[in-house]
Amino acid sequence: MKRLWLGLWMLWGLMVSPAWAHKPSDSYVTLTAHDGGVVDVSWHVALRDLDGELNLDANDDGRLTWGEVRTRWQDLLHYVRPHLRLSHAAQTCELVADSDQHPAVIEHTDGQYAVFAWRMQCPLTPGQPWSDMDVDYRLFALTDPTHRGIVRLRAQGSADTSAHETTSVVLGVDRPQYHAMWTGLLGQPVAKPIAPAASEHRPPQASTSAQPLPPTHTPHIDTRASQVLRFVHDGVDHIASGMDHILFLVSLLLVSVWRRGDQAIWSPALAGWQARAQWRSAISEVLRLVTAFTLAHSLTLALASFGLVSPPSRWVESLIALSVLVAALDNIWPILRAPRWIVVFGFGLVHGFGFAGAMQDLGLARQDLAWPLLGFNLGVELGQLMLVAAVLPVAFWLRRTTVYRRAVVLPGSLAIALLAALWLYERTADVSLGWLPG
Amino acid sequence: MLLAWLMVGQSAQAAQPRVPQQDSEVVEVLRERPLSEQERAWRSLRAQARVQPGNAQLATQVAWQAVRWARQDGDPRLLGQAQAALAHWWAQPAPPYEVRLLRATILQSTHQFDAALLDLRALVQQQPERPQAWLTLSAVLQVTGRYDEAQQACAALQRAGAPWHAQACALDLSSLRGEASQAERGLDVLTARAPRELSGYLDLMRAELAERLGQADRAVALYQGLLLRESDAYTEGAYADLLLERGRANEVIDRLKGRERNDALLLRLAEAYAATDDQARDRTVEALRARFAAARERGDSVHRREEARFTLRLLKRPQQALKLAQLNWQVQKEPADARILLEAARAAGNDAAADEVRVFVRRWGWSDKRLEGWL
Repeated sequence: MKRLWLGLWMLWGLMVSPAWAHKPSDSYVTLTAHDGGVVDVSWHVALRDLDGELNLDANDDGRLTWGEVRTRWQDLLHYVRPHLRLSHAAQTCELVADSDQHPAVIEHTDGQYAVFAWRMQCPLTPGQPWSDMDVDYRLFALTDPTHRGIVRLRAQGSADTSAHETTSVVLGVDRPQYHAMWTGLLGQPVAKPIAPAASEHRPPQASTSAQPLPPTHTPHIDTRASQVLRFVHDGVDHIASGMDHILFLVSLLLVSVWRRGDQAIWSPALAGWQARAQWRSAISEVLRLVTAFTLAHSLTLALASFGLVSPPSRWVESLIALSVLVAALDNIWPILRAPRWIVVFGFGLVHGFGFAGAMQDLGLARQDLAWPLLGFNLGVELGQLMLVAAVLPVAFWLRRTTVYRRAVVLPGSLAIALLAALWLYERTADVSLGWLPG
Repeated sequence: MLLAWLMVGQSAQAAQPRVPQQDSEVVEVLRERPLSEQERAWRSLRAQARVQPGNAQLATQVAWQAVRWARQDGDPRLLGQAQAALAHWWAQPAPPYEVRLLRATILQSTHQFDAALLDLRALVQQQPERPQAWLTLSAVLQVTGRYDEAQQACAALQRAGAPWHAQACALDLSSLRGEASQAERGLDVLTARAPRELSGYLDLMRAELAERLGQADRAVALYQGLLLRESDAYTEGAYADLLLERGRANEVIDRLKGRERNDALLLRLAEAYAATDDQARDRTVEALRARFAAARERGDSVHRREEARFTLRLLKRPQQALKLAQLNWQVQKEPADARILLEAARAAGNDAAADEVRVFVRRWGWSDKRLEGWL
């Protein structure tokens, strides 16, 4: 006992050193259901975790070679396979003989993972529709109770060209089972193959313990509807909290109730503007601008989100600042020669990349992006419309007044231009002016 | 819609499975050195413990070693393995003393402070004459900002027969309670007199205090001494922070290159790349972004301090960083937590969002040169 006591004193540092510094152990499971009770399993398990259990590092040198992994592949399969069990309507799904894929590895954020893939057949009689399926996940339950399996459920009927994700769920010791509904595959129209929210119910609690501790995490299940709503919310939130996007739109809106006549660039500030007579004319101007902006940013947002292009964020952010600066200055002097909507389209392209940065922050990089993207876009639109609804009526009402011209548009545009210039400096020089909002 | 044709493609950013061509290709570096005798012994001990699931002595031996390694390396997998060794008792409301002490240690390491406090308070009540639970209790109370109760725990440490730790505990606490300079002198005296085993413990306290007092050179010397003796991830990170503050980003890059597996150190490395305009910056930021996303995917929120810092300084998204820093401040209240909240609030143009910190700092009389500009 004495020795242990001495050991205890070494623990002083634990307090000041939060042991989080890596991600805890996870595995990634994708289950793709097809017509006829077939499920494709794809399972990524960290080599580090497998080594801890099966001592893959044959020569103990700390470096795992492909040879060390490959020659033990059968052992690995035999180890992991029983820890993931599927059953359909309480009947066990069976491994399809010889369906194992070749050994492979894949990179995740915290290292290399073994890729296991095989096919399972759930007991469906011909013509019987998928009703419900149970997933039972027990990997590393004995080794590491903080291990989690991130399980994605997807469906692909014979009419679908690609699989679509229906839901994802985090399983582990606290909650090893998940009851999934896969209605729609086989026997029913494939039009709505998605598990609706109402069909989900909690699996029975695996153990009833009198544990006085909170669970290490709360498992989450997102249905598609709630996922989309969440991203709509995030989209609105992004507009609401992104001052640069707001100010860009405000700059445009301020003068949308006016029409620009001929104005030389060296003429007095605001000289060329005349109030629009018709409400309709102002609305259609705003509509033109917002549509151009929306189309442009949707395009680049999609391109960036799918990883087809990824410009460095620093330059994107700098260009966004520049766009705000130019839009504000153009209110005062006509520095832009092209029609405004074309310019707005160009800047919309840049802003789309900015939104994409926000999307990735929401943790979307590796998910099926289509629905979140749509939701996020809707949210961004909604946020913009709210802004238009707030600004435009007031601007239209005041458009003929000197107050609006001299006390709102002029100082407003100047202030926005100044702020944008500072942002531009901050972002291109990559310094932080602590006092600057944004 | 425009999106429709783009939706067909899957995310191109996800890595694809691959089959290495050569058997000799190293696919994963498990550690930078061969398996040590100690690790080998631990594995066989763990195997023994598994076949005797109710053997508390075996189980605690396995778990202590894992916790110790987790501290050095910062890998939460080891904490999970420690927890696994205690599985037989983990869910019990009142496990045996040793097991419960370990459970509290593991819980606080993963920032489950309330659950840890529940265990620790029960332990000190059960056997007030044993110091370790008091020491851990005082530390948790200090991190969560409950200074009065922490002070009592320090005093109890004295009564439990651990006078050196009691003094260190009290001095560290008083340095946060408006007596920083006195505490500094006290710690110097204590270091000279206390047993050598405590020097690491004391030097880290002194280094952090020197930083708060604005004595950068002294702090640098103390950190360097510590890191020469034994490099653990926490000290390395703290030293990197100091170097970054002093504009010595190049040294941070030299020190932390090769330690990218540790997220906390990768964060410092990314800041150093950003400060030196290194082209590795974008790549590092992307890696961190993916790691935070992966942690969030599993439902973790342990690392909000780091995530706030990443979001503010590297992603330059002050509003989002502010939210994270506020959530973090609800859980822990160390100077670094105060700093990130103040910084994020200022950057978000919402100074008032950090008023809670100002009240806290004023109430306890913290003196911290690094915070002065933000208060």
